[in-house]
This record gives sequence, C-alpha cells and structure tokens, in this order.
Amino acid sequence: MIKILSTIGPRLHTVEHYKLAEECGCSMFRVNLGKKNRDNIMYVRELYEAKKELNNLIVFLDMPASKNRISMLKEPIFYNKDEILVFTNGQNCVVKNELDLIPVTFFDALIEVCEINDQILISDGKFTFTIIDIDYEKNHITIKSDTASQKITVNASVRVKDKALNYNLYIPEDINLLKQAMLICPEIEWVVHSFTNQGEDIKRFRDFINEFAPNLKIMAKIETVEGVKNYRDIINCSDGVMVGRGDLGVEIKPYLLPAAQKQIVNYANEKKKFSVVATDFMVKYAMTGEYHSSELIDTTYTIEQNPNAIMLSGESAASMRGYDAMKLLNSLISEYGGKND
Amino acid sequence: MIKSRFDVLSTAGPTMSSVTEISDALKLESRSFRLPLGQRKRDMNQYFINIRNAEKTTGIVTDVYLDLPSSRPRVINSSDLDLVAGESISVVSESKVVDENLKHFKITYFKQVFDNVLLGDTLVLRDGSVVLEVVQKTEDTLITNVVKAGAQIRNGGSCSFPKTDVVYTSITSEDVSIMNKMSDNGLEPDWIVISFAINTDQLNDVVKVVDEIWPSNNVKYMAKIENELGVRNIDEILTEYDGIMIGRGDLLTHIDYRMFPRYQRLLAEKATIMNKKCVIGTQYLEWFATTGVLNRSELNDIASSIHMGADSIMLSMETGNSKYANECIEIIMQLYKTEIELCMEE
Repeated sequence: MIKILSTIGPRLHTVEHYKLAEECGCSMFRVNLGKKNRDNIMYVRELYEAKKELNNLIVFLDMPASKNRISMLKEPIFYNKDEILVFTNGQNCVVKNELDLIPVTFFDALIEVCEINDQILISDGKFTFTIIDIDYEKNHITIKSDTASQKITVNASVRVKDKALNYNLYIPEDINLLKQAMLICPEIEWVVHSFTNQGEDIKRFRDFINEFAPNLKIMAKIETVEGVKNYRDIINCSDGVMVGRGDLGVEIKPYLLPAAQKQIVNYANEKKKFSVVATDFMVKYAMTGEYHSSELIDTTYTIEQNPNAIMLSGESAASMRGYDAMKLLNSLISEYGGKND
Repeated sequence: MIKSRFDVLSTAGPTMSSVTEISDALKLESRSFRLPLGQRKRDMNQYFINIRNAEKTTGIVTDVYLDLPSSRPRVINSSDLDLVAGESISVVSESKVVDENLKHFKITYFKQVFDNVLLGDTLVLRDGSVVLEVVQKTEDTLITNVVKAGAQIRNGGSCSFPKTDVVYTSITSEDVSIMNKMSDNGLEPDWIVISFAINTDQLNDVVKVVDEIWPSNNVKYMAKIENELGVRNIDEILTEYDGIMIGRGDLLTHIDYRMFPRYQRLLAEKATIMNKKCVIGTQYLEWFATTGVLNRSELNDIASSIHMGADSIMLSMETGNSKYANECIEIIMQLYKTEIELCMEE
C-alpha cells in the first residue's frame, strides 16, 4: 500500500500527535531542517520517544541546502506595486536614505548570477520583483515590486527566474544539526538531500555522512532543471528519490512538471528505489475543508503511478485539518492504490 | 487516451468579452467559447456578436456553446449574506414579502424545490462551501440550519439540492427570449448545453424549442453531467446526445467524493468509445486565476484529464472573471502539447 509521509510542525510533533496520525493512516514523518523558526532538535527528541512506542514509525530528515532566504526581519514588511527596495548581504534589516536594505543569505551566490531586468521570485514565486540596478561595490541589488501589497517575511525563499544556482549542502550550521539529530535518535532511517543536480552530489554526500551515520539511507530530492535532466543517474546513485513539486514547479516550466513526475517515479519503480511525491496535494482541502476536483484527480493520478509514498507539507505541519488531510489521502489510496513491496 | 485534437473552451464574462480579449484567446488556441445563459445580468447577445467579430478579425473559426442553466434555483433579490455555523436561515420564493429582521434569502424556481424537498435534505451553494440543512417546512418557507459556513451567500449564486428528488426544466422562457434575440441578430450557436442532463426526455424538450428558433438543423446538443443519475444513465445519454460535458463543480457536490475520479474517467472513456465529444469543465485553474500562483495539483489535474480523453477542457471564472485568462489558456495548451509529444515518442 502506498504510504503517507507527513511533515512535522506545530500541529504534529508530540507522541500523542503521532499516535493520532497512525490512526489516520500515516506512520512516516519528515523533519524539515530548513525551517529555522522551528525547534527541530525538540522534534527529533520527541520522535525518539515516539519510536519507542510506535514500531512502524519512520523518520526522514530533510537537509535544507544553501537556498537564498530573507534574513533578519523583526516583522513582516509590506510593499506596494512599483515600490523599491534593496537586497544586500549582512545580518540585519536597516533603512538607509528611506530605502529598506534587506539582507539575504548566501548573497554572494545570488549577486553572481543576477542581471538587470531579471525577475526575482520570493516565496516560491508568490511575489515577484524586477531587478533595476546592481552595485557590486556596495553589494546592493535594487529591485522594484511587480504586484500590489506584497508581504515579505523572514526565511522567505529568494531566487532568480530562469537562472540556476549551485546550492551548497554542506553548511556547518545544518551539518551540526544533522549530527546532533543522529546522536539523539540514531535510528533515523532517511536523510533527504535537497537540490540534487547529479549522481555525483549523492556520492559525495554519502562519503561525507558515512563518517558519522553509515546506516542512514539517502533520498535525493529532485527540484532543479539539472536534477530533472539527470534523474536516471541520480536515482542510480541514491537509495530513494523525492519529486519536490514545490521548488520544481518554479524551477522548470510548469507544463513540464506532470511529465517529470511520471518519468521519475516510473524509473524509480523500475530500479526498485523508494520514491516519494511531495507537495500541494491537499492544500485547498486543508484550508477550506472542501473536496476539490483538481486535488482528487491529482492525487489519484499520482496514486496510479505507484510511488512508495505521498508527502504532505504545510497540510500536516501547520493546518488545523492535518489529520483530516491524512484520512482523505488514506481513503483515496485505499480506493485507487496499488501494492508496493 | 490523448486526443489528436484538443482545445480550451473559454467561458465569456467580464474579462473575456471584448473583441480584443476574444481575439487574444483565439490566437492562444482557445477555439471555443461558452455563453452561460444563467448569468442573466451579462449581455450574452453582445458577447456573441463580439465572438463572431473576433473570428472575422483573426480569420479563426470557433464553436460557440450556449449553456442553458435549467430551472435550477439561483439566489435572487438578496444582499450578500455572511453566515455562522449553527444559525437558522430561511429560504423563500422571490415574490414573498419577508420581515427584514428574519435572516433569509430568496431563490428562483422555489416551488419545484419546495414541493419535493424533505426534512433533512441539504441546500448547497458556492460549490460546496455553504451547506444548509432543511429542518422545517412551513406553508411557503424552508427553514434551514447552517451546517457549513465556508463562504458568503451571494446574489445570483446557484443552489444545489443533492439529496432532493427534483428534475429541473431544461429550457425556460428567459432562455428562449435570449436565444430569439440572438437569432434576430443572425447569430446561431454550434452547441446547446443542457444542464443536469439525466435522460433523453430533456433533449427532446429542448430540440423542439430550439428547432423553432434555428431550423437549420446544424445545432448540436451536449449533455452536462452533474449528478448521480446522469452518470447512471450515461449509455442512454451518449447514444442520443452529440456530446457530454462533465460539470465537475456540481458533480462533486452530488456524489460520494471517492467515486469522483472514477466517474470522470468512466464518462470520458465512454464518450471516446461512442465517438462523442467530451468536455471536462471547471475547477481547473481557479487557484492560479485568483492568486497568480500555480498550485501543483492543478497541473497534474490537467494532464490527467487530457490523458483520460478530454476533447476540451472548459475554463469558467478562469477566463470569464480573471486577469490571468490568457495565462490559463496558455498553460493548458502547453501542457497538452507536452503530453502528446511524449506519447508520440513512446
């Protein structure tokens, strides 16, 4: 039976939550180490306790990679259409000459690929800005907002449309988190390698983690243009693969996403590698409590491709209908699902 | 089974009505347009004129679908209402005079529903966001309890009674009046869509009337499948009608949700086997049309529907009432081209 992988968060993290999730048909859980505003180490401790009581509980740790994000903001900032602001390096948001200077993490990698008139996408493409000036001496990227009343929050992702960055996975802070997690809960089964571009990325990562976690299985998350191009090589080198539809839907042309998902899952099945399809399955249901045609058809289309698991993100982590979303997914899997060995 | 010919059926409305807007849609390969006659406040006659003018401007021929709303009730003469779960709200006919202190709204074609509705039946609005349960019937009022208050009740909104045994009249005097005006302007549709189609009686009723307005015999008839009975009678329907439209918004509120994907596939496959046109409609890109951000489930939904054998995907508010109308059409056509190229490679 296809399994459900749920993302942990404020509404899903205690032993009681995990027992309830199991009753709803879910026994696999993902900690998103990229969510810096959550207490990930506490989550891992709770998972360790839960594993003692729930034998079938399986844990995935999702390594974040060096995605550009909005850095220190005290509170969300609102912009209207045509308003101008500046991205820069550094730690704190300041106001200079009436302009907001917003720090972005891994700024050097960002300014390297930017050109004037490029489009900047914030929060997976929810908000867009156009680059109107770049100052390499001051490390300023000046941008103008394209749409009205945008709200920027801390940790919001930042990327440049149609430009590929090489995301660095080995950030000391994140590696320390991973090591700490493995010490607390050595039985963690999976680590998810984000923004995988080729098989070589996985080989390198495997050599690295073999030093402190040789039993950890590696799941390659495919969410870039390069990753899609090299999916066979990536799957051959990994223990499993995740179709990261959230970022993939922004990185590649959206009309290519259904075909990419199908090809990746098919190849994973052929090679008997564990496959997960992630994101945007039950978002509307989680928000409104209503069934929606597109979500029912998307879910059954994915079920028919026979991946090993379907993943919920915000639906389980933060929505008040997380358990209902699990039940709904479970009922569709029971109705339409195939067998998975 | 992907069809070798496919297009987007765009619904006309405030953002898809001018000759320019329609011409842009034509160039993006939306080759058919739907005029929902249930939108009584919109000038469908003018939209139709603009469609034919856009054809002349672009040199691209289209199909025009007149969508008959049936006598399915709509909210009328009522201000928009906010709801609270658990509160009581009365439903009355459009002519009834009501004490303003009583929370209520009025609906068209009240009597046909009133005569058939039973206690415990539900009234569903806003595609399922609002659910009311009938708890009492007086001589001329339905008293309901708000079970789900997920949205406002809006004037002009359509009402569904999923549990009530009621057969709607397929063509009304208002429809005839609008169609006569179109005919007087030299306009003739290519398709007539019959809402809540459940058998061929409805087809016969409509053909009789339409033949008087347009005696050329060129008009084709499409059955809109929106409830369990329509699905059950699909073989009979496909034998006599020229095509079917799967009205997903209403269908989902009228059936068990677990059957929905199965029914969509079944209807599309049967239409293909019988060589009848299959349009699958609504709830495709509503999230994108409202926010400008693509929800990934919407992309897979389109791909799946294409593979099931849709000849057309119908957009409703996505073209009729959205600033992303052209983008919506583009996404679907790009998806279709990608999927069919891949099929040919395989």
